[in-house]
Amino acid sequence: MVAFVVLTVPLFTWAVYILLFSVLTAMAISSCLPLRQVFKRAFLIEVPLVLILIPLPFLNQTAPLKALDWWGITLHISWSELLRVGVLMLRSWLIIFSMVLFTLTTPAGELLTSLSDLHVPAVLVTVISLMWRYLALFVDDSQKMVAARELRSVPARRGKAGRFAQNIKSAGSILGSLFIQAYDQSERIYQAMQLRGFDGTLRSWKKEPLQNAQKLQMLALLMVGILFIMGAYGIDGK
Amino acid sequence: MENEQVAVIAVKDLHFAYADAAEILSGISFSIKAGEKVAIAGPNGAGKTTLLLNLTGLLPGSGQVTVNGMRLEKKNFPAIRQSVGLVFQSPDDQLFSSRVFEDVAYGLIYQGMGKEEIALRTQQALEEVGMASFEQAVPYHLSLGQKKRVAIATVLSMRPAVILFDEPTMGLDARAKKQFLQIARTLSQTVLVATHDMRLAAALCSRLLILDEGHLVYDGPLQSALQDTALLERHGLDRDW
Ligand SMILES: Nc1ncnc2c1ncn2[C@@H]1O[C@H](COP(=O)(O)OP(=O)(O)OP(=O)(O)O)[C@@H](O)[C@H]1O
Ligand SMILES: [Mg+2]
Repeated sequence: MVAFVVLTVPLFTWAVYILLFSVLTAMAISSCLPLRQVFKRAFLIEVPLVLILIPLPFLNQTAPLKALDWWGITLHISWSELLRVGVLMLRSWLIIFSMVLFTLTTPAGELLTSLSDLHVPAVLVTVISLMWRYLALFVDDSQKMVAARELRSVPARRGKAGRFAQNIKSAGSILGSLFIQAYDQSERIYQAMQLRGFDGTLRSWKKEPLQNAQKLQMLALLMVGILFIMGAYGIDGK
Repeated sequence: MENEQVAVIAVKDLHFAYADAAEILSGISFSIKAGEKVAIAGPNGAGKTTLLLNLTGLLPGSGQVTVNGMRLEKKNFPAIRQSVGLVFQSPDDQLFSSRVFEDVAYGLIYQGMGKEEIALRTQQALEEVGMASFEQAVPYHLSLGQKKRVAIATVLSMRPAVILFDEPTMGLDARAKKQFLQIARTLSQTVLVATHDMRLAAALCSRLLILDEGHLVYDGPLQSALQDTALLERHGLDRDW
């Protein structure tokens, strides 16, 4: 839900961000979670995203704020781009923060049951729960990989620059394998669903099978689309 | 011909390759009779998982496969998938609902079964794997052993004639392994287990297939294979148990 709000608000509405942040923090505190740990987790997952976003200010050549001469390569930084990247980081971080929070507090199941109590259509609940499952796995996987990388990275002997380069490289590969892994897993989950009779329509225990199969699929696609936007909004202009 | 009548699974000259890659299964043939419990062993990457996926039609190999008397082709898929259950190597692939109950009921809902029947079968399947009290639990917060048992229940609830297990004991501790063995032994179904765990194979099965680099290199009594140290060693299997 938070992700939805974050994605739909215009880029520079600071008030909304502040509000969201305080709501999330309040939730974290009220559920007695160690705040520092929550923040730390959220930041760890953010790292690969930041690395994607960093080149952005350099790519836009209009209205350069400052020209940097660096080993013969001239880089232009534009203020507006810088600001935009900052906001994008904030947005993504808020989403990740909420994800981490929810996976830690585990109200997902209860949330979903309460949704169906609120007469939200069964399909919607199914789609959300699938998405939910997915995000949880994704967060889990990325945490494992970051941890595994941390364990393997040898204490720096190459100095700061070398370490930074190394970090970028491994973050890139972490991100890459994350997506491959997510894709492979979605393939296997789909296979498992097929084996149990999944035929493109969503059916649920609670309601009778729904007719309008096509509408449902569009809905599912929409949700998947949102997921993808979440992954790709670094590229998405404005 | 008569032989094919009793064979629950008959595979003849099965070939399969993933897109733009070398052949993973090169001419596999075997048949399995109703009620048999058969182990498929072989080193990592031998093609065991690929073979199991082929038997359910999830991967499209070439060759002749019949399951429960039906040719493996698209129009038979619904019926075949009702009679063959596959328990995936990783339970995370198999559990995707928000409640254990829904996951176990999933296949039944798609069979269009009535609610009482679904509730009954779900309950029974969970009891069979000793997870009856977890009906309302959230699947992805269970331990690996519990997840694996629920994954088995999702297949049992559909009462298939054949159950395929992919590495059922991998990652389990000794007690969970024993629990699995107990569950598997009481099954009246035809069972095909892909595993490296020769101890499990020996305790459960009397027949062994060894797969290596896409070829079936052994098909015979499990006990005599266990005596043949050279054979086991040649195919990356361990008799020390
Ligand atoms: N989706 C895929 N795309 C391409 N190649 C694949 C894919 N899945 C498996 N392979 C390849 O097919 C071969 C056989 O894999 P498979 O998973 O069937 O082996 P396995 O016998 O189950 O191994 P293990 O004991 O490690 O589970 C391997 O070489 C693997 O790299
Ligand atoms: Mg395998």
